[in-house]
Amino acid sequence: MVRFLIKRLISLLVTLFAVSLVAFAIIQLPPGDFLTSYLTNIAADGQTASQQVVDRLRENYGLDQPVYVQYAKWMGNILSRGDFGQSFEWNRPVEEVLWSRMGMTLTLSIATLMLTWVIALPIGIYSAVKQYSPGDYLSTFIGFIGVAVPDFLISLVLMYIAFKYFNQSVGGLFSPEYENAAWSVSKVLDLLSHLWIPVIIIGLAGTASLIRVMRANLLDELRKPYVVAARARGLPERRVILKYPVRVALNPFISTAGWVLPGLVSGSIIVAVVLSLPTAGPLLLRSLLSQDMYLAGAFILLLSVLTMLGTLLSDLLLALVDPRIRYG
Amino acid sequence: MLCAFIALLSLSVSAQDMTYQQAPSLDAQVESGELPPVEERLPANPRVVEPLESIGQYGGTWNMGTRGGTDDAIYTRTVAYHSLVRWNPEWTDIIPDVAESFEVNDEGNVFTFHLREGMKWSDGEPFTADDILFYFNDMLLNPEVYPAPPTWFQSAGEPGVAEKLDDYTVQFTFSAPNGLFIQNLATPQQQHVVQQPKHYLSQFHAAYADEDELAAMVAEAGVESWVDLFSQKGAFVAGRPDTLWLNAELPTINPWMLVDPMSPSATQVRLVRNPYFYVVDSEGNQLPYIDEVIYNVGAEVETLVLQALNGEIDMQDRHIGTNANRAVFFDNQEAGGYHFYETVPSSSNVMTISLNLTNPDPAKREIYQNKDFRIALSHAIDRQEIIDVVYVGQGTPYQVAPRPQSPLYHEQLATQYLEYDPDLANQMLDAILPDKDGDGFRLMPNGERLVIAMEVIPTLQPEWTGALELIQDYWADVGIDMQLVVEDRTIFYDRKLANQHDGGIWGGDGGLEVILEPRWYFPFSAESIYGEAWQHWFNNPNDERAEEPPEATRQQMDLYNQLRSTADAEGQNELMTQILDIAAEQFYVMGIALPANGYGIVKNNLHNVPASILQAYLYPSPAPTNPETYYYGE
Amino acid sequence: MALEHNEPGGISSPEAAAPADVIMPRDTRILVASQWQLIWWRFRRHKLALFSAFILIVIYLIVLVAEFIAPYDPGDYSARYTYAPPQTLNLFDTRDGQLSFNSYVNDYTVEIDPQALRRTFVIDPETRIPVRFFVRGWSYKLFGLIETDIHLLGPENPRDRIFLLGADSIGRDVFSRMIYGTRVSMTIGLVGVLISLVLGIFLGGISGYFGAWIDNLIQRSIDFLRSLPTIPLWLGLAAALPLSWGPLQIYFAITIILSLIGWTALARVVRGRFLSLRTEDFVMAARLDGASQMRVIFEHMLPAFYSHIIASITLAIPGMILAETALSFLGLGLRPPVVSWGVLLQDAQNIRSVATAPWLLTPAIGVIVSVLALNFLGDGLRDAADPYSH
Repeated sequence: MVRFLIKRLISLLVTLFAVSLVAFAIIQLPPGDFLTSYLTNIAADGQTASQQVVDRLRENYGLDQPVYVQYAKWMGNILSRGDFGQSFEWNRPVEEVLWSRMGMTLTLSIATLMLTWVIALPIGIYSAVKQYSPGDYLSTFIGFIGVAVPDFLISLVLMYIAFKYFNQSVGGLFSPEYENAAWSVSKVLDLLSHLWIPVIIIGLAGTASLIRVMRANLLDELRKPYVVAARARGLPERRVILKYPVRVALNPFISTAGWVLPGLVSGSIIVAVVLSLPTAGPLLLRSLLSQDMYLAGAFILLLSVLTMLGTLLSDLLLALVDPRIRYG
Repeated sequence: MLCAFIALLSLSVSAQDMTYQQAPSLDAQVESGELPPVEERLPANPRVVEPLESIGQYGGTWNMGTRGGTDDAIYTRTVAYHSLVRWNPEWTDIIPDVAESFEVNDEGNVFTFHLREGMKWSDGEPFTADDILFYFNDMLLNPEVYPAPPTWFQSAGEPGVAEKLDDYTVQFTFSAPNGLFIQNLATPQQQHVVQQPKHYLSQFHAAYADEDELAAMVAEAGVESWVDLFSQKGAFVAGRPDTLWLNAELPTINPWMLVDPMSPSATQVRLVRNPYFYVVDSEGNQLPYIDEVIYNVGAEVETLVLQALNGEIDMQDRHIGTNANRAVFFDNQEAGGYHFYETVPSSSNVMTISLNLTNPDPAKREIYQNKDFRIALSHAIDRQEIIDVVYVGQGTPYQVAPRPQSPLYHEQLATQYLEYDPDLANQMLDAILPDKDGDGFRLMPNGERLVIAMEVIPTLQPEWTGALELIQDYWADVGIDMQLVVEDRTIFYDRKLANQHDGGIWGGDGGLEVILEPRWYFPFSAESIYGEAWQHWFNNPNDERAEEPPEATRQQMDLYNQLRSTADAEGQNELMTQILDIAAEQFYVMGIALPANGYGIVKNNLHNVPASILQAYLYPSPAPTNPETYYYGE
Repeated sequence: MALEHNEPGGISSPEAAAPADVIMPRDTRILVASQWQLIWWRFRRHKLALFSAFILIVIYLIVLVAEFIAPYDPGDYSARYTYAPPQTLNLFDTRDGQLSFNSYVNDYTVEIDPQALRRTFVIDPETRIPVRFFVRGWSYKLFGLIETDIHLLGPENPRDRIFLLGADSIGRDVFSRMIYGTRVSMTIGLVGVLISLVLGIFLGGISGYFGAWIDNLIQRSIDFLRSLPTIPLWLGLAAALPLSWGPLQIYFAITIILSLIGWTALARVVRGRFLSLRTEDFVMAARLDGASQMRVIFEHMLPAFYSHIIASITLAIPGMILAETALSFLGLGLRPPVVSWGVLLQDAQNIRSVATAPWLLTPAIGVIVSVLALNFLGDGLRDAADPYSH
């Protein structure tokens, strides 16, 4: 077991190195750099900056160096000092910028995760047990709606509905008057009134695949002989299903829960952008569009690490459960 | 926009005879001794502003929306527009602001500014000539902070000299006349002149701070050099995003001071009244009337739109006041409790169509530089239909030229080649590119089809794509294949700078601020899309991307350099008119229509807001209309 | 779902042969049915999947004959009808108290409101614009071959304008654009899916069958590819592709690159299957028979889960459709003048449309219907394609 773990950790590091190369390449792909992006933005306003200033700055930032030199500097700083660099746009260290949004991102992700599970599991169980019934169709339909509707559109529509018909203040996670107020019951209620839209949209989107997995696994289990035996022994139907098959059916599902980690960070970027949520997603998008090199690079590395950790976790869980895989 | 150099004497004597009142919210602090009484907080000669409608009441919170990050221009446009001088609300004149008066000598190379005695920063420290000199001598002329002194502070290639004559008098001397110096000081970019307090920022400046202490602070902040720290603390370092609203500890002279600054995680930026603000109304009430200012940070425009509809934004035109949204805002006026104010654009055109006249492809370059080619393309466009379809009938056909109300209005430049005449266009094009391929598109002399790749940023102005699709059809009718290339800002900008573009679309800057923003009249800056290689030559002949322009263009450049050294307004206007004459001859770019007036929304209970506000970058609306006099009533 | 071979009715089971003169009870028909017949019977039970299959057939028919169905060329704009609301198609006329068959729509009266900057359209019930079926309109090439100008429906007088689903911001007919959008959106992802499929099966199969270092190498590559976050990749690629390419070409390039990453999901599944299958008896039997490795893989093991493959394809296409809309939202996908659902939804992605012109959102219905249909179909196929799991 330990050998397995060590082997995987080593390959994780190698993969991480490969990812860092690709990450840096991705950021460098679009022509130009942060300075051109910044200049474009102020130009849209009518502002200008003199060419000399720009050229000198490019030198100062090291943006005129060849790509591999920039990469070496970046990696060097991370490995030797844990220094991820400065965000050009925010004029602050990258770590500061990243962490400042984590709190809200985690809140949102956990909330949506809970909703997804709460909706998907019962529907999955029901549709496996009552296969092909109208109830099965209806509940799968609801579950799949989340996947089928383009999320950016439904976010906008729900925002509009909240404004028009519920007279809610929309955008962000709090209404203006509660932004900096102390925590109170009304502040929590206000937060909920803003959270319902993203939680529903993101939550529903995740239900489809979960329902499918749950349904498939449970169907498999329900056909096994021990279920027939339990039923024959006279156990009430509910116990027949819930006591063992559901728990067994959850096993593979739990191992895929490892994929949740990267989702925590990127947390449905598009919905967060449309709803103007102060989470990590919009920040990542911004940093990519404005080529805020170090911030975007750190983000991509973070996402990749989380994905790899997720895979590792799921493989570990799988290996724990199924010895064949360990030695295969 | 006119610019008159008026040597003003001290403002109305009555200012010194007034008794002053302050906002009730400050009473408690004065009583407890935390703050000195209002007479001691104001300078001996405060600036007096006459409110537009009526004397206001103290109180209220001003809510606005911003997109966050680098969208800091809104800060200057509302709170942070205070410098030595400023535009008057009508944009016809320059009036003193932080300076109580100023003089220019006859040759136009020596400028003397008198500051207000007793004026203080928001932390109570005196505002003196030292603060101004700190900016010029320790920042602008310090190559670590400013790689090269900016052009507005140069004359005949040399930077000016800033001197302190006494605590409240500053003098700038240039080796040659600097005609546009005063005007430049009134533009929003130059607010930093009075926003860099020496007593605070010198702690982070290498020339003043103790070396070890500074190094320790740099390490603690996790930055690379003292300049980075300096910038984080609020100093304006060249090329970096403006940091004015990132540091709440930076003392300021603005009407409101920061409490919750902008930051990556900020959802609100909050400011409260500055008890040391140096302006009073005509009855001696210390301004501002409004107690607090809040910027709600939202990433997306549509969210801002909804917030505005909901009445959560008190006054705004930026981002949300588009043609497309007008109907929605109109319908919701009563429910939202707001009404429209008019915005008068300074823009000369709804869109400017540029062909790259310094195209790297020599075959295309030859065709584009042929003026008849451009004239033909202009005649092929049905401008009235574009106005009807895309702009709902608002606007009149116009080329890229100064607006009719500008004293520099140039009829030829504005109205030439506007008629929709596809037959004439075909005729002219037949003479230049007679051969066509199987689909009816014209071929270049080398046998390839001529394809114009027109680059555009759709998010800037959504109407552009609609209009371009129509133009695509019009040009196809005369055999020209134009492809829309829709791209992100950064890509557009980069390709433009590298002179890789074929053609590009932008707005019409310089409709009113003709002299300060002549980019469409001759290759002046990197914004002159049609002649990037030429503008490089104008700004730095040694740049490897520079190319010498044709004679007429060089003539324009000489004239503009002369203008820069001309002291009086009349002389400047005359030179500018000559430049415009040549621009009309050259017909560099084509336009579509004169923009109609726009709108903004303002809550019904916010007063002293003008019904009509000019819109430009250099006139950072609504700031010149004195937001410190806005107040909340019924 | 496990493939169980220990039940009667396996692939070639001698007990299945029954005497010819015995009428076979219904159940035993199962014993002699071919694999595909079993799949079909099983599939029929899933009513929703059946219905979805029908819907998809209709959709792909529309894809084939889009020009025939669309009354107008999708690029046809009209200055006078910007943001015109939809007109209902009436089939019966009750004018003069008489009921007659007359298909028509009502015309509008138009007012321009300069303050609100919009055109107000009021449906005028007194007016009639005749609408006919199989009417002559703009000419096109059916299937790209036959030159014709007949359309399913359209105004009797070609100069009239009818807007069954309203008009967009420059007066183009939303109904026509949606029909055209169907063609692009439903086909654009197919190439990418195919590539993912081939790579997934091939690499997953090898990985699962041979195990050891090949498996390790492929697995690590999969890990690497899956760790790359998609949105940054999209942005980088879209920015790096040459601008001289047409929008369709750029999109193809992006989908191909994405599919080069997307094969990983299928590969993992295939690998898992192969891992468990390779210890099965029938594999050993085939090897003993003298079949080569390749033959064993492709002729014996693979058919065991065609079902999965088919289901995977069907489930991958909606991903492509949604990705197209998401990319358009980010500004990276297809662009005008190409018409796809993503492009159409981009026009609708603002408060102005949601509040005052909601008919611009109808392409979303196309997305929802097709994605749901494909999902249910895929589910049905997957359920049905393991006929031996009962």
